Amino acid sequence: MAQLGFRTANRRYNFLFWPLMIVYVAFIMGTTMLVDEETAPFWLKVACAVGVTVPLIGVLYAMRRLTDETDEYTRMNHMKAMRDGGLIIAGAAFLIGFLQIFEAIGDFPVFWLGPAYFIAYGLSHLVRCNFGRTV
Amino acid sequence: MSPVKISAIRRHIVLTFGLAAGFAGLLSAAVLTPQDSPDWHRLAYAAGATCALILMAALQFRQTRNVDEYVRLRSHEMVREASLYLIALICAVGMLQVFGVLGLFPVLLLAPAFGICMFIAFLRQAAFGPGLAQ
Repeated sequence: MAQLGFRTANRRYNFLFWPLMIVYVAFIMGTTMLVDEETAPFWLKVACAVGVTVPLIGVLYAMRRLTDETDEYTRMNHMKAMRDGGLIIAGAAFLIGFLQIFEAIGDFPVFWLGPAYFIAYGLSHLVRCNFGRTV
Repeated sequence: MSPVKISAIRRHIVLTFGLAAGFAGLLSAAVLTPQDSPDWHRLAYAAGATCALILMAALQFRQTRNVDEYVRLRSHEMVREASLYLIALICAVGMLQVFGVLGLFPVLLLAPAFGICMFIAFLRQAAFGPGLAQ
């Protein structure tokens, strides 16, 4: 991977992130409005799930590419935030899992751990940028 | 925190394996405890197993801060890869659940998935070199 610098890396990130987000929002709105879970055939439901997931994976790729291409200071900031986000989500998976095993809570849709990661990542980045010592 | 030498990695590996063994032992004890024994026995084993897991997570966190720059960057890159793989998996599985293709399952299954993601990230680094740290 080539280090391109802060501005170029950010521009490339935005050029990939926003179109993918528009595709994601259009897909999720279209599929929830047009596809009926009760009557839709199995292949259509799988296709919708895959179609909605692909832009999200693209966003994850954009985040990964940003940390590869940006300057070292920003890279370290983002990588620490990603590390913290991942560890928080793994910890949450353990906690929710054990709560389920000991029957303290019922079924839990895995979907909610996705937005939770982005919240944990964003908060970790915010806290580090405002209060943390980066280097 | 000041960076320390390669001995930090050895200490980390020994502590990780020790805690993993403790976790496995306590969890096995919680599962194998007879049904007629008091509830607090199983709860105590489960609490011990959870503490071992939390200590393991804290150890991973410390390891990325407690080593030299080269190892630190490699560790950060590995955790980043594992986190992104895990979130991609969560997005895919979550969407399949949202559209009713998959049913709900115990969330604890995602925890070993994170370990597998870490192992894949480790193999990727071993296969393609140090990545960002080069």
